Amino acid sequence: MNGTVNKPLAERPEPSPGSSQDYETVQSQPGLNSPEFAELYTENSKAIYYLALRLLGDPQKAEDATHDVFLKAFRKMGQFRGESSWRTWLYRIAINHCRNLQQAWNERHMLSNADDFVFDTAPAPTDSPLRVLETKELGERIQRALDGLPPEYRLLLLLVADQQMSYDQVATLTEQTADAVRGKLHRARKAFTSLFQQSA
Amino acid sequence: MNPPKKAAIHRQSEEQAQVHGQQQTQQPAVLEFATVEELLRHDASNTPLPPNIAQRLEDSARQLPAPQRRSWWRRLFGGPHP
Repeated sequence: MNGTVNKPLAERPEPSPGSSQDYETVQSQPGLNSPEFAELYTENSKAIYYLALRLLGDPQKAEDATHDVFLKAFRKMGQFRGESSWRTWLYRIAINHCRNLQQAWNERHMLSNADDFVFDTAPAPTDSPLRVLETKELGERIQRALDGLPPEYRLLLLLVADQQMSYDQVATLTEQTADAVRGKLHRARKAFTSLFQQSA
Repeated sequence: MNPPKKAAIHRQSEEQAQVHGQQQTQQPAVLEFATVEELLRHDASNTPLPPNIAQRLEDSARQLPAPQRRSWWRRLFGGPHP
């Protein structure tokens, strides 16, 4: 497992010379109640909350993270240059934010490196359907299976599950090629299925 | 004397069917997902967004410091940002 997911992602492209955030940029930033920001929040808040929830594994932390991500987005909205979709831009902020939180937590609890993650590699067919009972514990089972995965696999599965995200966008977000994403996804699905079936 | 007995048997089977039906409605549905992504999409769509995030966001944005104005000569000649 390489350390791709442990590297901080740039939250936005480097500003060109002379275009750094200044008074005019801040002034042109839409307000929190503006239709632009309201639309951004309405269209993306659920996806950002879900990503934070499954990355952090705690509803309260996910709520705080979603709040922080959108507040950061609100402050930086004027710097968005349209080189990616809004969803991708927000995901980038969210991934970095959650990673920082996890690193701080890991440092406090002296956890081992992500590369030391061990998960059952027992064969789990990826082409057979997953059958589950519709219960309120389903979310907990999914969380347990995700928690057992290396962080990179967890992130890839969550991003690819979003139908608004293409493989190319996921590749850009995780700083690798689309082919690398496909290869890792295959292993991620297999590992998830194995862990999910064990959690039944 | 047969008809009453038949009716009793019929009523009993109706009651059994009702009980069976109630048990069926109490059982959780079995869901089938072709891929892990489908399962996660289902989970995401069933995960509600906490309603108070929007209000918290509005409160936090109100407390943000007002942007500092740059002097006209700094904007004209491009000095350091405050």
